[in-house]
Amino acid sequence: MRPHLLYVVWGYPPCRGSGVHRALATANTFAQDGWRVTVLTADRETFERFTGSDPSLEARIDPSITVTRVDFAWPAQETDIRRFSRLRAKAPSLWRRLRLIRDRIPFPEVGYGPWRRPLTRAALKIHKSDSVDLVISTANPNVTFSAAYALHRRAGIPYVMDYRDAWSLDVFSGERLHQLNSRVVRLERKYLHDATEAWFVNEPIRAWHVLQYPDVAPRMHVVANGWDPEVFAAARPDRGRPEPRTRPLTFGYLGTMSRNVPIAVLLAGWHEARDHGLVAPGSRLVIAGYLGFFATPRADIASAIAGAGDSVSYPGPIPKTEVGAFYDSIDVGVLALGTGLYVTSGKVFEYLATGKPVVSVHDPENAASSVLAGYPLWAPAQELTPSAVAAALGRGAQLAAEASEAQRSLALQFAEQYRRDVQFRPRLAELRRTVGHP
Amino acid sequence: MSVVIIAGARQTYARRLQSSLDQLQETGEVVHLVTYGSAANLQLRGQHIAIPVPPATRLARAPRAIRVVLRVLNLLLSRRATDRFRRAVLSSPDIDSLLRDADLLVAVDPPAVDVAWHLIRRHRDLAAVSGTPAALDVINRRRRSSG
Repeated sequence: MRPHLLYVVWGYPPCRGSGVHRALATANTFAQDGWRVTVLTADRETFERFTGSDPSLEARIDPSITVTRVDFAWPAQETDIRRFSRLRAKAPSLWRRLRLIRDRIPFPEVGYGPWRRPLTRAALKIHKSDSVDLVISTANPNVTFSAAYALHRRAGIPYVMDYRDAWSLDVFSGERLHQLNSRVVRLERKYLHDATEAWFVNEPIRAWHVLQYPDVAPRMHVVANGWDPEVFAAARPDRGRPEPRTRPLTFGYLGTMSRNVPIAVLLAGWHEARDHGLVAPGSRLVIAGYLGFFATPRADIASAIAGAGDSVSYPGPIPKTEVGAFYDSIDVGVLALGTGLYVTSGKVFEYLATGKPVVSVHDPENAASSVLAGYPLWAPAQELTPSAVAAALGRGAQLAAEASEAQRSLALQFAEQYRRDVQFRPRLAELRRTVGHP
Repeated sequence: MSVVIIAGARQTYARRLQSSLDQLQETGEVVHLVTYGSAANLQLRGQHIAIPVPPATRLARAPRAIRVVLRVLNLLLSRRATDRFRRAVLSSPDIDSLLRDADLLVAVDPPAVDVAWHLIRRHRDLAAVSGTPAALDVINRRRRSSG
């Protein structure tokens, strides 16, 4: 009998959120490793109405996976006045305050707290009908951890806490989000204490948690986001090493643009690079991806890009099935990230996978720098200013034109360590031993 | 598709309102506007119905100390203003006729949400949303579904 994994996640296809790719890959990796996988996630309508959806992602779910959806209500994001209560229509401030209190009663997480009970009920029901051997809960939202813990308490099922972000740490500012004696920290301590493993997306986040919970340190592991070989099947390795390019060049950014992503600095740096001849005349900057985390695009970012002139284009979001083609169409990747010692993003791995020059437009202290350190075609901005970004873009253009054959081969080899399957391999082996199916 | 924007705050910020109008008019839809009080210099291609604000009461022209107290009681006063706005909107045949032909009602501030909540009970087929981004989303979805 194959081991049964229950994977608890809020954002799963057709959700188009940035964390969905790790969730999709995790469940698929276990399914391909021979596990029976049940995914417990939010209902489809949540993503269609609130976060926006990418239907092409559903086609990438391994056909052997069973997906169970639990209704998720998100009143704070509701804009349909027909669904407003009288209290919300008449006294919105009071309604909001009461909502904040009510959200945190079942679980201390605004917006997601009320999901704890239906999620736990669904997890127990799945276990009752088909015994679960292992639970992996991925956060955020952190409420998913509660379902794993409930199964552990009631049936002794081992569980893994997969942190795509952090619960108590602000990955942008590096500050603690919750007081040491808060309900969140007490819950986190309890959950981590009983967890079989806790996964983090980079070493700085893991190191922070090791300091906070030293007794759990041996069970804390880094499982970096990595890149999906099937996405780049068209771009590598059959297409060989990218050819040296002279002019004009296409610089490309692909990712979700939240308010933390320094698009304004990137655009200012781009114009400076053009004005000073650091990039060849006729070169273009293509900025692609979702504008913000929600279904409705952020107007401020849209207007900044629209006002950036003819050399900058915005083709909109790129479906996952076309991501490989997008990277194939650019000469230099432009990695713009929010500032934070603990910020890696999943995109950095995709940029690496291309084997093309990567221009970093983020704080040099970002965790992404530690991933890119050693990559032979890396052109980091020394600081987050237009001049430094312009210089980095110029260096990126130079690398695209002048990198040697040896450098390009090394770049492709460097990226191999960050393949998603390579990242998961040690954990898969260990967890098989844990559930008695080595 | 006909869109009606409703703005119920007495001091509706003209720039913000114009921004909402611009975004919705850029979609090419016919946009009408209902405001509490006049809103000058708005670039609007559709109809504009302004509910007149009654002249300031003696209380509002009171000395500063009293006005400070009144400001503390702002919640109560704004409630009264919203009630007045709602009654005027609900009893206006012009607005009723505008909404009968409309497909989407957009409330851009809390008093407008309150009034819209009542209006949709009269106009059963009218979609009503809070905020311009949500309105744009509805327009785009309807366009996609109609091919």
